[in-house]
Amino acid sequence: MKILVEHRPGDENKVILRCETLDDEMLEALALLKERSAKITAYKNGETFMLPPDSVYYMDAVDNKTFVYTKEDVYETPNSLSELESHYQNAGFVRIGKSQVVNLRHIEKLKSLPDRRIEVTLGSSERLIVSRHYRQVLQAKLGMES
Amino acid sequence: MDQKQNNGFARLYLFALKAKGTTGVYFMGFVCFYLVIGAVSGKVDVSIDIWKTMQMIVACIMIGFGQALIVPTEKLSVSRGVFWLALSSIVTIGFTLLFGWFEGFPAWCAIVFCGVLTVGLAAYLLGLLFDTRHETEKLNEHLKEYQQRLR
Repeated sequence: MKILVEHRPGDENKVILRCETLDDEMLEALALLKERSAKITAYKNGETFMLPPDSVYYMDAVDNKTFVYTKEDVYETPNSLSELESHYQNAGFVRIGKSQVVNLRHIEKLKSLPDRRIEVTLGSSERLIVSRHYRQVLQAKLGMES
Repeated sequence: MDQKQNNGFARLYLFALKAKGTTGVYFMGFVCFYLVIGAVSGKVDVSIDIWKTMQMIVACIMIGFGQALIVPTEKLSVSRGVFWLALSSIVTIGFTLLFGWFEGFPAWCAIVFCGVLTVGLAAYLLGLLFDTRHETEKLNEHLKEYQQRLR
């Protein structure tokens, strides 16, 4: 597949897929674009927001409610954590605990702890802990041999 | 119920297997170092009788099984490490003094024996610390590579 990037003035970025038939490679590219452009529905103070997945730092579930955290705000979402995890796993989201999913895009650094857990420092300076159970999941996602 | 019992037995068996290996390494260290110190001190014909051997095995079982119980890699923390090191030092010094392992030897022999073995045990914890640092570096390298691919 040939990849061409054209720099043109305009209001909106456009992605045009040109092909004779939609083969597996094109379908994969299409799925990735669709996933990246799909917004997460979230509520805050009675208002509904459509959040781009890239703006989400992490998500967690508390008392059967799912919350979405961006750099400065917290929103509630009607989706379950499992739904969000499976829907956005190719966009860099990975589960780090029974009730937390983090966006790898916004991780500033990782620190392996002596008890085999991992401390995650986000770009917002917040810290999360990867449980021992999900350490292997994170390592596999990063392409590390466990 | 049988399944639970089997799992319990398997866990106990694997724990004992792991601890046994560690105990063996410590026992080898105790015996070799005891003989080396004896030779260095001028007692060329130094030997270990069966009674002293049994005492050393018991001491090493306490240290080795203590390690498997207190500082398994999945539960390692600074406080656990310090506790195990203190306990192991007490066992080493206690057995050395209580059973008079160095009776007839120059006084420095017992001090060097206990000192070096304690440092050796601390080296195990230091090794785990180095491993943690190495793991942190590897994690961050892979994270940066992954983030590059996402962009």
